[in-house]
Amino acid sequence: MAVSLRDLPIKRKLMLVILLTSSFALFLMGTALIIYERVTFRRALAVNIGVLAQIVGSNSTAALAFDDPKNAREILAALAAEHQITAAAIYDQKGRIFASFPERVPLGQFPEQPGVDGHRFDRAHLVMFQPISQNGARLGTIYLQADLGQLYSRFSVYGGLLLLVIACSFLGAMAISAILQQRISLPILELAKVATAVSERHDYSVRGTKHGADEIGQLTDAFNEMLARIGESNAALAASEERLRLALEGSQTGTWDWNLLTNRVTWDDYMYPLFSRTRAEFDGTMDSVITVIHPDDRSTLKRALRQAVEEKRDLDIGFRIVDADGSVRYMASRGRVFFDSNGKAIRMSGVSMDVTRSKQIEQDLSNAKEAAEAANVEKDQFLAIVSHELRTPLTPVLATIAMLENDEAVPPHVNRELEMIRRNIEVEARLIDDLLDINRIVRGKLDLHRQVVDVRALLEHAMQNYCAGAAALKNIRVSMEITASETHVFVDSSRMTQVFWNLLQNACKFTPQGGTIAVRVYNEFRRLGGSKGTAAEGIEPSLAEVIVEISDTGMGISSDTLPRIFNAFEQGVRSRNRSFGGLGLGLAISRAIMELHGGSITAASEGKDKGTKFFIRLHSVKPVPIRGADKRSTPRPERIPGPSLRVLVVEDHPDTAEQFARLLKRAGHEVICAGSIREAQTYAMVTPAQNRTCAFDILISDLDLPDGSGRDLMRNLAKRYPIRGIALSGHGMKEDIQNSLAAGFSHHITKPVNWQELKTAIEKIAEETLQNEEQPASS
Amino acid sequence: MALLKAFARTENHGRKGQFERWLIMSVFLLSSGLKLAAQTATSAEYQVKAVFLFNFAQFVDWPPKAFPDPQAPLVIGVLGEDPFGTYLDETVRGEKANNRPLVVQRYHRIGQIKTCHVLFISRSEADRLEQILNSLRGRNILTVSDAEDFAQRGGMIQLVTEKNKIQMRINLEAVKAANLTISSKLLRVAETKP
Repeated sequence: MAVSLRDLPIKRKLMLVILLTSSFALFLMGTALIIYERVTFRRALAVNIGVLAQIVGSNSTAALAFDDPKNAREILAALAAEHQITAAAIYDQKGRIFASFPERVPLGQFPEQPGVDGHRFDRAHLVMFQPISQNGARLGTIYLQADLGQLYSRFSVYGGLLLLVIACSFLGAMAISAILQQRISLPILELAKVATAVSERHDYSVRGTKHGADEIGQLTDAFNEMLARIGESNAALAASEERLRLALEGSQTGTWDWNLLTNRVTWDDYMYPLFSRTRAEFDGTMDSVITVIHPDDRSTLKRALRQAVEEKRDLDIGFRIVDADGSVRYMASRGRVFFDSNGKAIRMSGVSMDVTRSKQIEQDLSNAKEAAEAANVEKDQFLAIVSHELRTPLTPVLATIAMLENDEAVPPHVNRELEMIRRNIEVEARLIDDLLDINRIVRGKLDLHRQVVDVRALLEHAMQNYCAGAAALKNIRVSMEITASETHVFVDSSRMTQVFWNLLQNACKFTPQGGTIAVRVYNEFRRLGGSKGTAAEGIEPSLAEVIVEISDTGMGISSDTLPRIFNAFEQGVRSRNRSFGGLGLGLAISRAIMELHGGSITAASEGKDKGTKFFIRLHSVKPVPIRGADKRSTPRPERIPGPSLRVLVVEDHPDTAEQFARLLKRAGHEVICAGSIREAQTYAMVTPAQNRTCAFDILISDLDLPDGSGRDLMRNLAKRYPIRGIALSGHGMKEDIQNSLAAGFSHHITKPVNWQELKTAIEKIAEETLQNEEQPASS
Repeated sequence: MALLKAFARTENHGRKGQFERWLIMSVFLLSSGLKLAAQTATSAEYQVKAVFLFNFAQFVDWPPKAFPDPQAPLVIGVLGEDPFGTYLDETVRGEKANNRPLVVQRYHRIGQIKTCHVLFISRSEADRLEQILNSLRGRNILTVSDAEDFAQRGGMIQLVTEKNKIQMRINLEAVKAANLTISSKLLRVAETKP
């Protein structure tokens, strides 16, 4: 019975509505009827009683007038026929009771005095007083009292009738509602059944039946549509969940969520095995998580978590986990901190995965890399040692040949053989140099000592020293045409010379007998702004580009090999290796040098046997009016033999020392050889230091000596004497040269020693010594 | 109250019976209860009769020709010795019957009667009753008297005192002969003599 209206089934609700409505209408109608009836009944009663009073009063005038109460009583007795009259009385003119009805009622029960004329109703009666008059003269008053019982009996009849009607309408409403259910409640009930089926069995394939196009029909459609959507999204969700589950399972990834407000950590199913914990062991606190972590990683993890929250950045951290059996596994965790609208961190969510395997692979890779790097270093060292060791023996050989070539006692045919030997040894030395250079280039240790030089001087020098002889042998005509107005460049002279040598060498090599090699130097002007590579202190870039074009009439390069000729160890066609020799490193080195200079080297060939053209492009600069540069890099074509100098040669390789001594003696210098620092110092210090004059003008010293470095020797001697020095070394890198200059050497010559180079250096020192001597004299 | 009224009337109109009045006064003052009671009973009877006379004017219809004009008063006459004293005048004063004022006239001889509607014939005229009634024949005058056998002797309404109650005896023939209509209500409370 306690079921509230809203919980009633619609069927009942409908019935209730119909019944309530009809009952209410009936009740209203009945009430209106009763009220109307009451009013009209009372009015009619009042009128009826009024008329009765009138009649009785009128009839009793004479009785009153002639004082005949008996007659009056007779008249009143006639009222017995009127059942509703319960009492009546006539009062005389003086207000005394004249006659009463019914007679058995004692007079005390009648009003003692007549009341106000008119009628009034009390609870059960109508009471009426009316005047009795004859011809306008008042003779007395009549009193009537009518019972209202009739009215109430009528009301009870009406009430009963109303109840009967309501009962009938109740039955009728039930019948009607039963019929209406077919139209309204039946579709709703069906829909409710479908909905119950869906919610109880989770079966989204059922559909409601549509009975019409009214609101319930629309509801059914919408419901069916919704079911279809739910079915689809359920399927999609299930598939997505399955994918996620499989992915997480397969990747051994677990997800976690850390509520920063309550400090509770929630794990998904995959986290437990990952962290070697059962559900019972994990109590959801961060401390409980920390206990699993390797003790060494705990502070790191805590710091990372704190930083992620404080610095609002994502968590990405690796750490170790110690299993119950003591084995260590590597974990990686990534997560993100989420903040509320006030910027307060509220939670951190993320994933954790086991990265033990990849950590091992990483470790292996790292080991392999270290091993490879170590091997590489060893290889470089080995290469450096090998090339040094390979080159060292060449120096005395070259020196000896040079001496023999200058020896007029040597017969001409032997000279030719010597020439051949020298050339081949030079080629071999160059090959070893190339190997060293490539090694430097690969390691990025090729350094440039740039200065402003005239490219013409470099070219002339290169042609004279490296090309003229070879070309003459093959009867190749070498021409040089200079149309450039701006020929100064900011380059490393020796490296640039190396490039020119390579190109000229190649040109000679590939140009057949009687061919020509043409060297052209010209300018191309470009627009402002593109300049690069020449930006150095005090160097003013020019708008011009200096182009050195070296063309030959050789075998040319086919278009498919053209792009590859600057790659190391490429030599155009493989077969060429055999006929022309070489390692094919020259062009690769040249290109590296040009790129370091900010310039370029390109090749062009019209095809096989059509010759090859090489273009070297460099940014020109304004010539700098400084002494050393031009003078030093510009070899003098003709030289008178310089003054005789006292030279101390320190070289632990006896043959090399011997060779130098002979060459220097031939050039007119006094030479003493020493094999160690100790020996050299003995020779040098025969004169007391306070004299400030030394027994030698020049110290030519190898740097790698058995009892120390040649630099220490130089430093030692330079402190005492104004002696100049030339360092000889198998190492020619920037720091090597700088160290040598810092130690007091004026020159640093890389082995194998080119005699010409050494001679030039000696001449320069002689010249400067002369100038120094002349200056004080002239002043 | 009624006694005081009667006393007042006696004072106003007592010229004729001065001795009687003095007597009444002295009796009243010197106190004799029985005597006073007898006196009062007599005057009370005529008091009622005066009211009856007035009421007859209400219950009887006269033909229009009985009145000289519509506003003419209805005349109540007393023939012979007047037993009412001032009662009749008191009763009629200010009253109206069918919108006509009421006037009391007193006659000593029949010839004095001109316009009259209700005529009370005193007992003093009882001996000449036939003569009086004959002379009034054909006139629209309601004759009333308390004389013996008045109705039988040709009078219209005879007032009879029985058991201390005044009753009416009506001679309907005489009434009809005078061309008067008596209300049926009056007839109901009266005794009719055909």
